[in-house]
Amino acid sequence: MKNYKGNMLLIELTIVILFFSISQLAVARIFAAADQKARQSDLLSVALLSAEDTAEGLACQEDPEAALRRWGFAEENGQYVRSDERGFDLLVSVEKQAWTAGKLLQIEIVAREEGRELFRLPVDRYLPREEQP
Amino acid sequence: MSAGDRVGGERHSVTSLFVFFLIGSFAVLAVTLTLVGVRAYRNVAAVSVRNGDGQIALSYLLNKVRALDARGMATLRREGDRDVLCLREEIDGELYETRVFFSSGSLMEYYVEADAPFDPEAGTSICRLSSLSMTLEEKNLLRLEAVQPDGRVQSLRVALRGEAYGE
Repeated sequence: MKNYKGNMLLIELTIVILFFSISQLAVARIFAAADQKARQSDLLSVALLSAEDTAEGLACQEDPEAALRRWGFAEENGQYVRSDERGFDLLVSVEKQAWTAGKLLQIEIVAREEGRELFRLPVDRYLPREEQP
Repeated sequence: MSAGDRVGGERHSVTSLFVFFLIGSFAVLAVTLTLVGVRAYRNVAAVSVRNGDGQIALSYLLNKVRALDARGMATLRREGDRDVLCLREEIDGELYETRVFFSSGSLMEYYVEADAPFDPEAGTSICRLSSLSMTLEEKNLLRLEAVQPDGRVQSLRVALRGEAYGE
């Protein structure tokens, strides 16, 4: 009888510890996800500032390609790419459309982390004919 | 002591040892998890503060410029050893200036009549910074570089709608 009670206590204890262990596992996963989200948010914030910086710079350029080269972008497959040491890449594509009254510059900035797209920032600029160099 | 008692005693010791080991490993895991949780929470809080505080200065300057950079109304000038961004506006025929500069570890701003002399002690502190530099990269492209109190450097170009005048 005494032995039976002892075994029951042991089983009860094991079940309780198992339950808490499973709960801990779930909580650990939540902590890991929160940590990952925080890192992602930090990267996104830095990438956004960098993309905004490029967009603002391009907003007043008549020759965006030359400006991009000056700012350290390298030309790759018709796009301009710059890798940041903090772990993201900025890809800039420039498309020019000639209109009778001027020129439309369609610029798109894409931020990527390990091939995964973080966000896309369009920067369009219209150059009236009289303002063209 | 009989042989049966000795076997029963050994079994009891093994059971106690097992229970002790079980509870001990649970306690170690619980403490480890708490420490991991504290680290994760600190990291999340630090990133949140860094993202929030870190961009106050640049966002503030960007919004100021966006609100007041009418043609010919933005001026970047040197007062002593500091750069001062002056954004003019005309109210009832009078010219007023919002002056933004770095002084005593803070981003400062004050609003005066355009012809009032510059006083670095005047103005309101907007946020703490280690340093701030403002330069005209091109005639209509302002470059801002802020060093945060934690040493992080952030820079932002701002395209001016009207041309600025560097003095």
